[in-house]
Amino acid sequence: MSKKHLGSFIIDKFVYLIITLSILIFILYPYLSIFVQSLSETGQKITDFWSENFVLTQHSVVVALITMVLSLIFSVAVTINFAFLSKQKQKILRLFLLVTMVSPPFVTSLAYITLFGRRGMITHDLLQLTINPYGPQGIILMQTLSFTSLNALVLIGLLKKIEPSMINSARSLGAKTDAIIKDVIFPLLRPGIVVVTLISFIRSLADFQTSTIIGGSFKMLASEGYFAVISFGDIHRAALINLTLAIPALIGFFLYIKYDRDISSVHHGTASGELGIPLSKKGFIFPITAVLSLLFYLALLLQYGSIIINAITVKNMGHFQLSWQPLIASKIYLNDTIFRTIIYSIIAGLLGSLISLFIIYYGQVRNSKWMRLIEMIGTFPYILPGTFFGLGYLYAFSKPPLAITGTTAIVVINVIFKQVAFATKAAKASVNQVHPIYFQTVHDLGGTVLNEWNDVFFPMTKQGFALTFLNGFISTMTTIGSIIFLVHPGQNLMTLVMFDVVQRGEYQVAAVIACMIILICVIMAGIVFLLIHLSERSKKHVSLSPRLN
Amino acid sequence: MFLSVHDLTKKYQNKTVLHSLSFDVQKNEILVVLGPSGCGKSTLLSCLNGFTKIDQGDIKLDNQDITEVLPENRDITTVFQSYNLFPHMNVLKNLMYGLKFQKISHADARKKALQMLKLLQMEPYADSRIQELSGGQQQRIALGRGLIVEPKLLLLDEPFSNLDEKLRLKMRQELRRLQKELNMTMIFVTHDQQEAFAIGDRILLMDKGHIQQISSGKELYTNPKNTFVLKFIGETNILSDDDYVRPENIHLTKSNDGQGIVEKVFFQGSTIDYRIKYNGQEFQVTCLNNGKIFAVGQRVRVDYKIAQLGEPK
Repeated sequence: MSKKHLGSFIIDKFVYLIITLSILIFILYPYLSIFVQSLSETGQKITDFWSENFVLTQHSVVVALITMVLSLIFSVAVTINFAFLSKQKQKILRLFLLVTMVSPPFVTSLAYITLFGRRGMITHDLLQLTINPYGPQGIILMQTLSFTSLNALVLIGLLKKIEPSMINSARSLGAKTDAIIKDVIFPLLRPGIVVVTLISFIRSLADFQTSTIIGGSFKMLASEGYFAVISFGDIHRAALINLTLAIPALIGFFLYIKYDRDISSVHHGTASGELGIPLSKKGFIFPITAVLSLLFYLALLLQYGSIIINAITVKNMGHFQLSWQPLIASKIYLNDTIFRTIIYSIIAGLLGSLISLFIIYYGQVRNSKWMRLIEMIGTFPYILPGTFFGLGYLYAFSKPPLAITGTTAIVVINVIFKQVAFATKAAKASVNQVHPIYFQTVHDLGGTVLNEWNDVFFPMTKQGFALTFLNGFISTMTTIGSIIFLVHPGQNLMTLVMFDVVQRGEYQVAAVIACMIILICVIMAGIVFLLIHLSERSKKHVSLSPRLN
Repeated sequence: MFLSVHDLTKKYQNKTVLHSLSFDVQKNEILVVLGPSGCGKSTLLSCLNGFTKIDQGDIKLDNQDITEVLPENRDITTVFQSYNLFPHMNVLKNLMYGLKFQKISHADARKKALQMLKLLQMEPYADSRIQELSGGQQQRIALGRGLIVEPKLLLLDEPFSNLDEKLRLKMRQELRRLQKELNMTMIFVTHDQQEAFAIGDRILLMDKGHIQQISSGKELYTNPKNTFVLKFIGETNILSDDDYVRPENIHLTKSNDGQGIVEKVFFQGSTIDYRIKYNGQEFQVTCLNNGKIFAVGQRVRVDYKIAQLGEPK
């Protein structure tokens, strides 16, 4: 073996080992730790916990079921309604839905309090009512609102992949609007519907922020788990709660893997990315979806409207006046938090994407079965509750050999490995577009594995890397669950500060932080898309140059 | 006339893609729309089935004006190039789909679908998933799904273009057989001349959104109306603006004092193509392979009868 090839061989094996070890240590080990230690340590047994806290489970399951059904109805309505809209309207509404992606998850609860709270803009100012908004109804409504956007985005993605001529075929055979929806669109969306339903249920169970902020005296598993750590320092109780939450999530995980595969097999043939023509607005389904969609968009508009108003105005004699006051008031809470959050998000985005790309490289391109198993382990944080992951870190890394709790490193590592789950999915889509022959060509011409990475793999998955990075960045900017127990004072991140000020009743400061998070994510998205656009342009320039000569 | 298209015009932004087309189709006829890529043939089909709105003109089917009728309400069915069989339904359900919108009981629809399967010679596949079928089988089911609803007019948009050569030949024969058995009226779009000749009762040849000629395949070949038709259909030797001679209509005889010289020989199997220099011009000549092959450099006597554009031979 030549020196060049030997060096490449060693680096290749080293990277493989590092990727494997890092996933085992920072994803599998924390999960195993929480399972083994919480069940074996002294204290309440899990079965006793269940019998004593049956009401908590009941509350959580009932709320999750209702939220699941409602968000499903609304997201399907919004998706089907897209089929009736022109391309331009679809684009605008999709952007609107995308804002939810770049918002902290509990921004809806904040809006809810500012609109319907005791001093709420609608209940108090407009209707002169003093009602108690806290309780399960608020949780259900707010979870429904935020899950609907995310679900609809997934389903709209699927809708756009339905071949236009599939719909035209049905029309050509005599199918009218309602029949097309019932016979073609709905069945093709079905695997996606199952996945988003499942995710809504699991998310609702795991969501501690909404119930902490607007649950009032209504107790649920997730918020109790949060209070157990924050108020009582009872990690054992929190672990039992999270283990309970993990059971449906694990069942869901296997169903998710099954149906997620179905989603990718729904499409065959060439997807043009656009519906053939908007469906004609006839039949029974259109008015129903239109009304439901309108309600949903209005709620979304109210939500973001109230956040913006709260962030840039102060109330003077019952009137809103533009003011810097909320921004100035937020200064003492933020200090260097903004900079730190951005840096952490950039690191998480970059390293999360890099690790994910390597996992997919070894799993797909090099066909390593072991790496495909690693990939599966990497998807755990996607489906298991974030707090479960965070607690796992507390169990795993609070004692030697890896005692890193309380350090900056544990937070950064946590956010990096939390990205891997989603990033591997995005990386897979990107790697699948590179034909295997390119990799073979490098070796055929005498290149090494390093040449493979340098000349084919990274250059050809550049765009995928950029998008995966953006996703990791946004997800870290808006994350809370997995890091809330790991962050120590002085290392705060923006979402945590926002969560803190909401609980203190500083709604205007919270609104300012929410707007900042959204703005930072939008700016980063702008930069990434600009870079992609520039690189596409330079590619075009290169491909044209021979002709110019 | 069964289908009558009059003055059909389609513009995209300011670009006219179909220029005032007028033509008729008779009952039980197969009209093939032939032309190079981008000539507007698929747009024409899309105007006929109603997925594209036309800017001018009218379409009458069986004496009814259908210009403004929605696709689902036109008694026209289309078989698309990409088959578009519903992946979530099995073969039988795909076949029965269009019958749902006709007043016909489920039992009768099933019976009809089974009959269609028999006609398509695919009886064992009734319960198969679409993904289990080969390309040719999928194409047959797509065809059957269109035929079963017995539309007044069946449109086929390059339906065989994804199949291999052998299967394509078989499907052409199948289509003709089915059309005869079911007495269907069809418009078939293709860019393949051989396919057009094999399938069409008449051929509508298009270029740049204009109809260049409508006639039988034989007429199109032997009596082209203009230079485009002449050049597009088969090979030709153009002698002047209007005069031409087809390569197979040139007769070569071995002669040492002949005026022609063989410059190149292309062996094609059953035929042999020659490039001949004659009277300062190059000619392409096609001869049957009867065992006598002229060598390069051989002098030959060249005989042909000049044909003229737009004039019967």
